[in-house]
Amino acid sequence: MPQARREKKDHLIYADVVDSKSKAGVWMGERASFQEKQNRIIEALKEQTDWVELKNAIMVIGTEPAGITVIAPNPTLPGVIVLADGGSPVTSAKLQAAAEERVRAVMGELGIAEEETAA
Amino acid sequence: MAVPRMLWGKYFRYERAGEAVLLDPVGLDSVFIDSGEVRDLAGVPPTATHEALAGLGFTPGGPAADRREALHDRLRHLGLDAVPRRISGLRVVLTDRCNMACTYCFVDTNTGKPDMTEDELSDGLEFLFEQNAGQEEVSVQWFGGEPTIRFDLMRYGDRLADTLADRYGVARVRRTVVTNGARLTDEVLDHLVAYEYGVGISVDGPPGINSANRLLLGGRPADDRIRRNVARLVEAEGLHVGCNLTPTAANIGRLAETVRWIVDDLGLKFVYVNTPIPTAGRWQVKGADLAKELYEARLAALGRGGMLFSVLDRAFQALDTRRPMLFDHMQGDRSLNAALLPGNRVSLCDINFTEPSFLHTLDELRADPGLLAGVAKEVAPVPECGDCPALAVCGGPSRNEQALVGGDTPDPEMCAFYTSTLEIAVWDDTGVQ
Repeated sequence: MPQARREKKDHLIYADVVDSKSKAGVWMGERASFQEKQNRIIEALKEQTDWVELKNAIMVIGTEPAGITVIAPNPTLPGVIVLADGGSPVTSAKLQAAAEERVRAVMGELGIAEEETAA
Repeated sequence: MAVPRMLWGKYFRYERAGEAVLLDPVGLDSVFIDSGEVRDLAGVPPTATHEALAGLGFTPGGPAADRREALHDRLRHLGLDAVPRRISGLRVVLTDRCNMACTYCFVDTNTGKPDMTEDELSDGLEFLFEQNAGQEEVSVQWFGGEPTIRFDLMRYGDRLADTLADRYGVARVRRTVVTNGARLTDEVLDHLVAYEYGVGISVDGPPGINSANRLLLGGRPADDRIRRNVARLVEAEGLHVGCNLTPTAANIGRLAETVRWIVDDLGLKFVYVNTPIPTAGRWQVKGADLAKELYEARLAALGRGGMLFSVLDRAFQALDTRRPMLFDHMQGDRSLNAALLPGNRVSLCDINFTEPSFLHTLDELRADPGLLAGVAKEVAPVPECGDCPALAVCGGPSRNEQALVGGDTPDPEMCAFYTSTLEIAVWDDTGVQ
C-alpha cells in the first residue's frame, strides 16, 4: 500500500524531539536531563527482560541514504550484527548492505577472514 | 539534484532506486510508493495502486489549476497572511561598535555613528510593550555591533522592561543577547543569569575556520578567549546558551565537522545556522551544497545529544504538517520581530538596517499600523515559482532578498537551496528527524 507521510505537528523549537514521537520509538515528555533518564530506563529494562550486554555496539546515523544503522558484536557467535532502518524497504536494504560491506572492509583491513555462508 | 518529473500534471514525482515519492506542491501531501507499486502505477488504470492513491487523495482528475493561484487560495483557506499583525519583538541595536571585524557581517560596524541613547531605548521599549498590552510574551534581543560594549544600556533596558511588563500586563519578557563571546565580565555574566537569558554566541567553527573571517579588531584571533567565556556561560545555572553559526566559504564542506566541534568541544548543545543573506547582491554559497551540508550537520548534532536548527527545517515542517512554511522573519502568530535602531528608528526587517522601505519612526508606526505591510512577502512573485516543487516551502524571495538582489527574480542558488531541501525532506520520513 502506498504510505502517506506521517503527520507531525507543533515543531516547537525546544521540543522538537518530543514532537517526533509519532515517528519512531518511545519519547520522554521533556528534554531536560534526558541522557540520565535514558540510563535509568535502560537499567529498569534490564530488570524486566532477558538481555545480553553488547559492549561497543554503535548506532550510525547517515544521510546517504537517510537512516539509522545499529552495528553490534554478536554475543554468542563469531559475527557482527547489522540492523538498518532507512524508512523504506529499499533504503533500509541499502543501508544494511552498505554497513555489511563496511564491516567486511574493516575485517579485510584487520586481516580477519570472512566465513563463507551456506548457499 | 535532478528536477522531478510530473505525474498527471499536478504531482511531482521523486524517484530513487525504483521507489518513488509523490508530492502535491500546494497541499503538501506526500506519499511513498515502493518499487512494486511504481510498476503497478505504470499499468493500465485502475490498478490497485491507482485505487490506493485515490484513497489518499492522489487522483489524475480535477481541473488544471495555476499552482501559484492555488497556493494563494490555500493560504487564504488556512488563514495564513503575509502581513504582520504587530511587532512582538525587538532586536535592539545598541551600538555599531564591535571588538571584532568579521568580514561577512551584515552590519556596518565601527562607523563612528552614535550609540543608542537611554531615551531612545526607553521610547522603543515603551512602543513594544504598548503594542503588546495583555499579551503572553514579548521578546527583547540585545544586538550590535557587540552589545555587551553597552552593558549599561542592557541593564537599564532590562529593568525598564520589567516595569513596562507590569504596566502593560505582558506576562513574560524573553531576553536574548547575540554576542561574539570575546568579552564577558563577571558583572555581565551575573546579569545574564539573573534574567535567565538566552545567549547566542556567534562562532563559525574550530579556530582554523573561525579565524578565517572572525578576528579581533587588531587582527588577532579570539578563539581562546571565546572558548573560556563559552565555558563560563555553559557552567552558569539558568542560562540557555547556543551557537549562531554562519555558513561561509571557510566552513562549507565542513559543516558537520564544525557542528561536532561545537557540541563536543565547546559544549554547546543548541546550534542555529544563519540563513545566507545576499548582502553582495547574490548568494555566496552553493544552495544545493548548503542544503546537503545542513542535513548532515543536523544529524551530526542529533547524534551527539545536540540540536541544530536552520531554514532546512522549513521543508520538514511543511511536509510533516501539510502547511506552507514560506513567511520569513514572522512568528507563527503573525507577529514580527523588528529592529530598533539608534535615532528612534525601526527597521521592519531585523537583518537589514539600511533599506529605506523598511525604516520608520516609532510615531509613524503608531499612526499607521498598515506600514507593517511593507515587509510582507509577495508570495510566488514570478511565473517560474509556479513550476517549482518548493513553491509552498520557499514562496519566492522575501522583501529583503528582493531589495538585496534588486528585483523579484530569486537568486538561482536560493532556488537550488529550497528545491534541494525539499528533495531531502521528501525522502526522510525516518524517526531520526
